Amino acid sequence: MLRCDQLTEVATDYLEGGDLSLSERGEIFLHLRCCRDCRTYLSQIRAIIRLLRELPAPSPSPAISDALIAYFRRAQAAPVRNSSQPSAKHTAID
Amino acid sequence: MLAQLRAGDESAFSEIVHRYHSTLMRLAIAFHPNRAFAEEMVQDTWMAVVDGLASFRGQSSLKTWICRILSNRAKTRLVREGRMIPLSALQSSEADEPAVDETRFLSNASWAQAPQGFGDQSPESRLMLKEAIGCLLRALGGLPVNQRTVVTLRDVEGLEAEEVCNILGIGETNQRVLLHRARSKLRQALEGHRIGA
Repeated sequence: MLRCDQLTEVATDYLEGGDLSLSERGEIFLHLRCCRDCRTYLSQIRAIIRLLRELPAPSPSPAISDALIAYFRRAQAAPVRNSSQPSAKHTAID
Repeated sequence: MLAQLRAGDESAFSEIVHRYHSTLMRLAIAFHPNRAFAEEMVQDTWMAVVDGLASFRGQSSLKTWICRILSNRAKTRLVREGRMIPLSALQSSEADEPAVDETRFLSNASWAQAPQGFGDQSPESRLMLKEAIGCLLRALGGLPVNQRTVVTLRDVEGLEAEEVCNILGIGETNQRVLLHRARSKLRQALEGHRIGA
C-alpha cells in the first residue's frame, strides 16, 4: 500500500503521465480514493500550475522593438558578419 | 515564417519579437532575477537570432532555437560570474530533497498535519488572486536557478518536457526531478494562503 509520503514523491510523475507502471498508477489511484489529505495535496499542486499560468507576461517596450527592427534592417543590408562582434551589436541597440 | 525572416521581411521579424519576447524575458529572469540582466540577455539573444538566421537548420522549432540561444548565453555568463553552479554539481543533492518535510508525517508516513489553505477552487476574489500571485512570484525568486528555469518553461510558459530539455540541455529525468522539487517548494510557500478552498 502506497504511503502518504511516497505519494508526495510521485505526484509530478502522476500528473505528467510519466514513467509509472500500470500497477504504480493503480496504487496511486487507490490511495487517492481513500486519502483526503493526499487528494488535497494533489489539488494544491494543480492549483500552483494554474496560478503559474496567470503570471503577468512582460512585453517589449516600443523603443526595444524599434531598435531590434533597425538592427534587423541593417543586418539585411550588410554582408554577413561574424556574430561574435558584441561591440558593434551593442552600439546598434544602445 | 523562417523563409520570410531569411528574405528580410521586417513584419515577420516584428511578429516573432512580439510572439517570443515575453518568453525570453521570463526565461532570462528565471536565470537571474534582475531586470537589467534580463533585458541585456534578451537583446543579445535577438541580435544573435538575426545574425544566426542563415545558419539555423530547422532541427528544432524556431521558439526552441531562440530560447536555447538565451539559455546558453545566460548559463555561460552566470557560471563565469560565479552566480550559477553547473547543473551537474546540483543533481544529487536536489534529487535527495523530500517533496514535503518529513516532520509533516507521522511515524506510519501518513499526514501528521493535513495540507493547509488552498485547493482546487478558484481564488475567491481578485484581491486573493493578486496576493497569491505576489506570494508565488516571491517563492519563484527563492528557488534554485535550475528549478526556476524548468518550472518557468514548463508551467509558466506551458512548454513540453522535450522542448525544455532541449532548451536547457538537460535530460528528461533531471527535468522531472527539478520540476517536482520546484512545484513542491511553491506549494509549500503558498500553504496557509487562502486562495480558495
